[in-house]
Amino acid sequence: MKVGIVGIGITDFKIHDEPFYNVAYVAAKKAMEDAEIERREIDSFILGGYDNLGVGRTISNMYVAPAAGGYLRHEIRVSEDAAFALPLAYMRVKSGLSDVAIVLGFGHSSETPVELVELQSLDPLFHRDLKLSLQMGYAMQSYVYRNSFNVSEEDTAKVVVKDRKNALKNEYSFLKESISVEEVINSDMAVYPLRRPEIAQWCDGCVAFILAEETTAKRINPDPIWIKGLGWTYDNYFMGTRDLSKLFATAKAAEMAYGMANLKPSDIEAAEIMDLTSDYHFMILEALGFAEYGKGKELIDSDFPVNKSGGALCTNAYGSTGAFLLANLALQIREGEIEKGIAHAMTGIGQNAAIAILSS
Amino acid sequence: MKRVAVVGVGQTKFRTRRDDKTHPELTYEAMNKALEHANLEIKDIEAIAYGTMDPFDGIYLPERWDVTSGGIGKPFMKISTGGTTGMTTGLAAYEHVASGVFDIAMAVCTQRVGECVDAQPVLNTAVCPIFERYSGAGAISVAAIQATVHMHKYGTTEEDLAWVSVKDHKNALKNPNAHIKLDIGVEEVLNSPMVSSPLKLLECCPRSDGAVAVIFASEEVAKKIRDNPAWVIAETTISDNYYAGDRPDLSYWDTLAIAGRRLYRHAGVDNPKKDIDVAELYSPFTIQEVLELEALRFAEKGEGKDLAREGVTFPDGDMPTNPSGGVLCTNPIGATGLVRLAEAALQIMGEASYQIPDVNVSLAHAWGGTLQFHTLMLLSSKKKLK
Repeated sequence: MKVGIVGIGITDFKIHDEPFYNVAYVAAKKAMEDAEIERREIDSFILGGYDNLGVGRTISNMYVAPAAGGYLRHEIRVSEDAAFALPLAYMRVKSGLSDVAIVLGFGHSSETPVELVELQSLDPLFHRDLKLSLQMGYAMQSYVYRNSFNVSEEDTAKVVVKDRKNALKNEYSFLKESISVEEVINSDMAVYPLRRPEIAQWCDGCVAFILAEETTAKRINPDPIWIKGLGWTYDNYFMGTRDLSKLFATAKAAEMAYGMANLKPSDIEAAEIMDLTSDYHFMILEALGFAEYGKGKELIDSDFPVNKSGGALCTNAYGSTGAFLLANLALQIREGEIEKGIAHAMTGIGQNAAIAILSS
Repeated sequence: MKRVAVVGVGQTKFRTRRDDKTHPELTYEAMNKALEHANLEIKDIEAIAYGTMDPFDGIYLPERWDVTSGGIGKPFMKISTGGTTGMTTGLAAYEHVASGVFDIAMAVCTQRVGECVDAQPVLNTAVCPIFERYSGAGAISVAAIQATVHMHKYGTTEEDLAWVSVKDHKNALKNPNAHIKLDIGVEEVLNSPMVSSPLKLLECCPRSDGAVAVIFASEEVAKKIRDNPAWVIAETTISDNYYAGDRPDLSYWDTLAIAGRRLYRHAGVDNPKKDIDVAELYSPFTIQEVLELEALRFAEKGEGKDLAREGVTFPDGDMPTNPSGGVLCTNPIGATGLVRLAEAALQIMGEASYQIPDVNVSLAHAWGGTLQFHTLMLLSSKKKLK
């Protein structure tokens, strides 16, 4: 039995000033309109996104579940990026407990100082006194990566240029400003060795998917986008135990997803990856098996489409970024541009990953 | 759908503070106990669903640290849904196996409410900042309103509610993991300090530190692990709307009644009083057990108040509730739901600390939000009820 995506709803990704349940509502409504179904036809509401400090509201599913349409229905929230909610929705549908489910990813970073909030995720014994912000962690990985594999500033600047160029053509992306390699290299240093345009900026937005079991899916939409493979896992919390030049969780989750889909990297025609920094762009592609370790930079000039959406470097709503990338991949399949693609998400300092392989 | 059973349960001791252990060490303790109970090793666990409610614990997203307790490299996802977190984490682990994607999955929940100065202001940050936050209502005040409305409508007395507390506290005396252990009578409850009228101190739950783990396995695997597994018969979860002020009738928990009706229909339960042998209900305040008994059809509307006083819900009564001592005696908030599920499973296995004789069907329940969510799961010694 297969599980398919039959509806997609994406809101504007920007700084939203209105009550955020309105934004969640818009995503859910758009997905239902896209699938041409009513709220009452959905039996399960699976939410994905952060809580309390991360969105300024404790028990965030309290306001998101009704906004998504979950009134008197099954609801549950998976924390971290909403890409982690997709496997749970898939398993609920596959088990037969649900015929039609909605996954709603929400990210409301403007409500909260994310850098300070993430400091609270550091354990109080070993890490908190270090005040290791997300961006500092990203920079440590970049530093190790660049030195391990001789990656230059020009190489990583090209990622920013490419993502920015793609985002200009994507109606949903947040950051729409073209930039040149020279401008990246001459921009302010944010956290050495990362310059300001090389680190994703925060924004807000929601994404909704409607999932259905195979038979029902075909009734709703003659051409569902099938979920072929899923993988999700965590690496060790302690950064000192990790090889910072590689993304173990991404590689491990990819292994699971490829195994489930019975596909290999060479079968994949496009990727949407959560490149929170320019270096992560290469590191993710390597962990996904598209290049040998240290050779991700060779893909920048290849024909292999990566982040047609503009990637996380141009759209990063804390909590829904992975769902945004997944939706953009699904749209590429729907438009007939590709048949099989992979979407990647990760949170923390590269500690975890949630991966989905979709196909027509 | 694959048939699934609970095959292992592990709980830590629940205390006001567990300063002896870090967050992942508590998680590790519960996981190890569940593994020992199922005679498994961590390598046998294929996936983990982890639950907590971050805002109490003095650490945000503790799953990142707690994954070191045995989850590194495994499929690991964090569930958090308020008071229902424990039950929804169990439900998520159940779905891992019911879908056929995994054969063995573990649910584990850890909570350290002792890290937080006061849980009530934290809970108040859940409600809408525009319309309801300035009421300052935490969970206790909302439960107090439920009690007041029930008293007004059905003549429920403070003594009726005190009997619920007496029953839970007496049960907790037998539970080595329970947090509050007091041998008390109705007088002590009635004479305890008023917290939010009409609810008194001994009618309100504590705030606890601790962890709990539950292992789910597919039929083929469960049979190899133990000969007394607790089979999952049915589950359901429901959400009401966001605003507590929109609840139509605080004297009757209608969303729980709707959820119960769905659960019973899926399970084939016609007469809950007769078909269900024991229930672990999420009642952090005495009045809520009364409302839950009525919504789940263990009592008629307005008659739930009589059950504890008449001994019906005591372990030797016709419809025992919370033989573990319940939430009134142990409340690690985001783990509490999974404790209900663990205790309901132990009753089926015949291994509970306060074992009810001949249990074939047990019910586990949790509620969350401002009276917004309910999750239910029905377990049995048989693979099917009918």
